[in-house]
Amino acid sequence: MQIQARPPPHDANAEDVDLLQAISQQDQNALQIFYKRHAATVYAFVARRISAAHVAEEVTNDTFIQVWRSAGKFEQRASVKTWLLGIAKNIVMDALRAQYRAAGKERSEPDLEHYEMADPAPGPDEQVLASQKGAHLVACFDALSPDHRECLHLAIVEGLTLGEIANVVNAPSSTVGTRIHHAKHKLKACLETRLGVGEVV
Amino acid sequence: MSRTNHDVLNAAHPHEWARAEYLLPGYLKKTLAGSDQEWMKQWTSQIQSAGGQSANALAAETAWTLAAQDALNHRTADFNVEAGWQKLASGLQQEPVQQVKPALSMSQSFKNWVAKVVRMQQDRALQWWQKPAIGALASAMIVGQMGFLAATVKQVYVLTTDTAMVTPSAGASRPVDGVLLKVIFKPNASVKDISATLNSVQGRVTGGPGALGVWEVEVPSDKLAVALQTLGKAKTVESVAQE
Repeated sequence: MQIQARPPPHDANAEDVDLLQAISQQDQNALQIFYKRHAATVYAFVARRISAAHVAEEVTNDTFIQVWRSAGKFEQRASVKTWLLGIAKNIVMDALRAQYRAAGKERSEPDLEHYEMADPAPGPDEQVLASQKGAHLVACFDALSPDHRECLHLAIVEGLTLGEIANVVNAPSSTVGTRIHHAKHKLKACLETRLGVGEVV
Repeated sequence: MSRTNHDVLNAAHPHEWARAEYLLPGYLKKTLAGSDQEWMKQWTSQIQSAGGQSANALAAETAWTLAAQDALNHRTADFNVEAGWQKLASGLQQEPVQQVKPALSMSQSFKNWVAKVVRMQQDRALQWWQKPAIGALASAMIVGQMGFLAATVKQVYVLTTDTAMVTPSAGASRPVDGVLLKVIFKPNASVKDISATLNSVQGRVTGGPGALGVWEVEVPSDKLAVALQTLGKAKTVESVAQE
């Protein structure tokens, strides 16, 4: 088996930088193009922590409002995607914090890392998906802790490096590496239990 | 207890696997920086060429990662981007418009200051030392203002080039009485050029792209003919037609 990377497109980051420059000048067309390129990515990332769809949509929306306000502050110290997901991460934490307050709970900041906003009932998409291939993997993934899920999502789905993930989640690279390693181990163990075979999807 | 892919690779290539384990998903998605991507390409080729348990373990780990990427992407597909954009666009109307201070406002304030000084001179009797002092101050201000104007001219030039992508449709200047066009942009056109093209006709994207890559663009109705002509000749545009 020859291991091949999936087809690469173009220098997406350079285009994103151009778009951010235009957005900083209040170019709404540029924001629309930027949104259509990244909204699904942001939503998928947010949904790893906030599974209530309407709240995840709100957080996604707020993320791009923040992009509109602060595009001019992008300094190219990280890729645009890392910067964008970092904004999303902060807004996710704000949403979780707000829910804590609404619930009358007193918690310190680190506890939020292990907190999630769960959907009370699976939506129709989840029900349909349950009958599809890969459903076991998704179910096992959803059973991971929020911080493990978040790091594994950024690694596997977004293909970010340890350093990039560390920037997004604001944690040391070593911590991120440990989370990813343990998350993968747990995911595979869960699949083994469900399917009776190891490391097979 | 059977050995996992990780166990096999970690035992045979501890140093390389410590790096490759975390780069593999990005390598498969081709999101890595050039040096990491090249390193992964060489290392995976080397393992595959050597064959044996390591090759099998790496192939299995690759298959697992690809399957996980596909399975975990489902939430991305759930999101309705078009509806999300409509909501965001309406939310932007509530956002305060960032105003760039007009470049000549300082010039106007300078004129006001000179007028004030003249009025002062006319309105009251000056001490013997006040006339030369005011004259010197005014001269210094004039020199300073000329320097400021020179800098302003340079700044205006820079802004002119930099803000070629600024949409006239943003905020309050959005065309109210618009006409919709169907536009297909050339595949190799950059987003920067596309944005500049749209702004040159005061165009605003209102929808798309559809399955065929068709964008819906709104232009002011009184500039329809010019917009059609401009877009028809634009290097970024494959085709344009009125809806």
